[in-house]
Amino acid sequence: MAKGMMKMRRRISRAAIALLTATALIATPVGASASEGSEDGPITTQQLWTATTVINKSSTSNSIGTQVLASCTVAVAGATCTITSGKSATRTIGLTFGATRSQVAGSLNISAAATQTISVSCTSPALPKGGSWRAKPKGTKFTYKIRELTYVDAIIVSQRDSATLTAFSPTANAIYCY
Amino acid sequence: MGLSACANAGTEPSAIVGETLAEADGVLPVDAVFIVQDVSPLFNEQPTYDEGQFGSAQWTVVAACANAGTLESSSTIEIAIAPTTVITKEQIGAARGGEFSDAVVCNF
Repeated sequence: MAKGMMKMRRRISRAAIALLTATALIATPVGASASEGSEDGPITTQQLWTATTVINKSSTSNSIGTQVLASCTVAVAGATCTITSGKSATRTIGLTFGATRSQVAGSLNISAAATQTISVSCTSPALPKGGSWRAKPKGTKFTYKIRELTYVDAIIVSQRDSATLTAFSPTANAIYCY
Repeated sequence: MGLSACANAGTEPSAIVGETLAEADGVLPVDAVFIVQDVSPLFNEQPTYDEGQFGSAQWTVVAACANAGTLESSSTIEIAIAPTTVITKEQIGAARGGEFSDAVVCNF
């Protein structure tokens, strides 16, 4: 009887893992419960899993990031500012429901690295005294949601979606100056 | 016999004032952001600098600042430059004395 219970538990767990692997989700075991055996039946074990996935993906290329890479203020009337950057711009990725940065990045087909080195310059026109010239990174902006599914064994028992999240992936050699 | 305490101390921004961009290039970190102000109007010239001339001996630094104590450790460096062929020795001396220090704002 003990061997039969072990085989049942392994079959249930393998079925759950196979299903989750096939759907490319990140699954997290939450817990397990066992019911007492009776004269009529064996003891069973249930596995509780949560899994997250990225849905409703869209992207806009040539977007301007919100991060200001550099800012120049002119103190001499008629001077120009040239911003030359070999600097790292930040890659942001919105997360929730325990989804990982690498999971979302992989789903969006972008690097999970926190920064992107960009190397580029831009020169202002002649500016008045007190005039300013700023540089921001250009890149791709993504919007998406994260869906959390809760399974008991291989059966979905609940589903919830996040609010719309955003990610920004800077492009090398691309800045916007204004 | 004494040991020098100056090794590996770094270069203060003021050290490159009066040098050409070519001379200063040796102590400028490769991965910093550079804000270059062409202040040619101070010397009665039109500004003509563009990014292709970074590191050129055609330009002389008249003011400099950075967001850290030394250039080597800075991530943002601001410099004001003027054409080397226009600026005089006296003006270079004045620049080293801080005459043009207001040309850079250093709002880091």
